[in-house]
Amino acid sequence: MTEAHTPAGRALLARIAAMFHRLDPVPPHVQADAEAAGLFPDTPPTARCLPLIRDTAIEPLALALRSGIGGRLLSFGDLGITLRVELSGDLSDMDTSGGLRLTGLLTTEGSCTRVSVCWPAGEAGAPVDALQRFEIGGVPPGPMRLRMWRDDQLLAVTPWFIG
Amino acid sequence: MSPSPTASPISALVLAATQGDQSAWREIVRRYNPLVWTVAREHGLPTNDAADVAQATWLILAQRLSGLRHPDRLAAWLATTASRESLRVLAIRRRETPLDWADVRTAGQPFVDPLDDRPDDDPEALVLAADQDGALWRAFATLPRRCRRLLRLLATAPELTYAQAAHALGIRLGSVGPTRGRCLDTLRRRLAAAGVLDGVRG
Repeated sequence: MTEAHTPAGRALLARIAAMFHRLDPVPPHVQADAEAAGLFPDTPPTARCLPLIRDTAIEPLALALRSGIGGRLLSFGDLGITLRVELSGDLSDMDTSGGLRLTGLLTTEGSCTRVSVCWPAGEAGAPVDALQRFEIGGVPPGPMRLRMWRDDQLLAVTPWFIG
Repeated sequence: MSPSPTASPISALVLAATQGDQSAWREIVRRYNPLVWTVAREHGLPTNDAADVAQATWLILAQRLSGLRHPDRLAAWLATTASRESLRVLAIRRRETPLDWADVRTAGQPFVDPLDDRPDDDPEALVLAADQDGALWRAFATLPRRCRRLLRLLATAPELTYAQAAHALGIRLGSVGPTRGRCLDTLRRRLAAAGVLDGVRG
């Protein structure tokens, strides 16, 4: 029997757990945010969830698609619908919130009229133009997800990701 | 998803939470948020980034709760998800320097003095407990980083299997058991050398 599986070993691990509970506890606001996550509205079953296909933060592209500074490209997609969105520092908003700017392109079988981005404390949206492009600024960094709409009908959502 | 007659309590909580029982959700958070927090911190993330990882992990769980295939393995699912999100944040922030354990007090999280949340124990016992925490902390801080990461994770979530712990920390499965044993041996020897071994015996 190794040290780890003896009563003394288990007691030592318990002491380590207690020590970290004191010295590096889960901050109260992190606990509150976790509890609030369970209250977030469900996605309607009629809306599709588009899985993440690519994130250039993890798999950098060989060629930059745009010349923006610090841009990160995420691609989501499923049969018949794809969404590519670039996240970059929102220079126009830097003096106020220092938020993110989301610039995206949709490819869908039908028409999508609006895209919104929601984060735990808010939401912002923008119309999709004739070429299925959109741009949303002033988005606070942190967890977020995108939603695609046709008028008032929610067509698809992305998973939560950290922007 | 329907509970089996032998459903574990966590399976029952997950089922209740999928049906909108917020008290079940809060109980899941109470049990496992320390694990999520530990995984994020053990990837070297400062408080703000670890908070983003924790929040994203719980939002992802809320989104996928009803589709969990093995709710009895929720701890492993959370550890894996928090690990993946931590790696993503590290890639975004280009932060490669691990958290220095000596800087935990200044890493954005206010230091909690063990004497500040004192229960109604006698003062002598409290002082002794604080001294033992300090001695344990000093001995723990001298361990190699792989030891500190593994021991903290296994201490926080003893229900994780070696495979699940290896996956959460991105280490080789075959090294978990031997590393755990060696690290505990080393820690115990250092505590003994410091003359505080009695204080960490269960």
